[in-house]
Amino acid sequence: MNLHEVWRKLEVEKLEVDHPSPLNPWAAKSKHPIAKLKSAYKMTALFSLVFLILCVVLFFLIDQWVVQVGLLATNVSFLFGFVTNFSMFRKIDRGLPMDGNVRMALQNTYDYIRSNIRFQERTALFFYPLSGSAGFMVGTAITGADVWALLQLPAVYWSLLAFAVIITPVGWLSTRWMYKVSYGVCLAQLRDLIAELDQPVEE
Amino acid sequence: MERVFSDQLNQCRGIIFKVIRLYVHDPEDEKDLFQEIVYQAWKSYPRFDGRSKFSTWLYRVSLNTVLTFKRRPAPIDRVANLERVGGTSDPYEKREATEALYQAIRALGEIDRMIVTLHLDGYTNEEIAEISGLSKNHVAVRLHRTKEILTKRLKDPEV
Repeated sequence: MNLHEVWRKLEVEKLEVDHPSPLNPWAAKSKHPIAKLKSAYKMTALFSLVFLILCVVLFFLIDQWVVQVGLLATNVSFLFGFVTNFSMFRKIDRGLPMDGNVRMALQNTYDYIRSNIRFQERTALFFYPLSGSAGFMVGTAITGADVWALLQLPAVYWSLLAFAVIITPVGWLSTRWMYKVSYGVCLAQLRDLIAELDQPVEE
Repeated sequence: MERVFSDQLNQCRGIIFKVIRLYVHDPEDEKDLFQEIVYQAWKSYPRFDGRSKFSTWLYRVSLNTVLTFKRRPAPIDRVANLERVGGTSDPYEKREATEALYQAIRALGEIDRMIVTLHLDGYTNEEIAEISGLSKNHVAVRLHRTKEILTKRLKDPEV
């Protein structure tokens, strides 16, 4: 059987798709990993902004200097979160060239996803303990208690310290787990294809 | 530029359909990927310098986009499709043979699928090596093996 001859007769049925405008990028629910990263950056930037505004409002509402210091530190982290996530969201469009060779495209995509995940994991290391501690102080202040006086009690500051010590690895591990769920299959697929391309052939 | 791009794309959109059908098995993924490929092609279009044919360039973009896309593994009913292949001059059965070849290719590994499809579409080993990032020798060896597998499978669907 001549494979070329049989192949030439193949009529690939046309997909029923509307011709999309190339200027109208990502599909709303694209499963492309880079599109998913982009949408994750958008959501994180949005949440950071919302919490940033909330913290600014609380800063002026709560008249306790220790809480205001906590909120200021949290605000800095939310501002950093907003700026970095928003700039990544904008940058990702100009991301990866898809007109190089397949080996290069696979490796670039793999490295890009891995480096973005590592960035998010590192952010989680200081983001969760800071937000948790500030949340505790705000919660206490809302009940009308004097937070500074409360923080003088060894039981309270040790609890707060223990909370920060526990929440740091928990935040890091849960971020790792979330990204594994979201991108684990895709990364494994890319890794397998790269390994297959790199496999030496015996003649 | 958009007008020129759209015209060239419309002439070669069969390539996109072919690549999608070879790798994707879910109707929603197909539509999503079509849009994705068109977008990626548009984004890369300013770098298209005309040194290769537009169809070759689009093939490359389509393969890269599909292979970097999260795909669901497909259940392929290879035996059912290959059983119908016979050495007859009946045009209906000839079409069946074509479909059987298509299914046999879909049952290959993703890299072999890419190599053999490019080969069947008339690309030289050198061009396939350039598109895939493999060495020319690597392509030749894999292609030889894959063609043997395909021929065996088409003769005996149980292989």
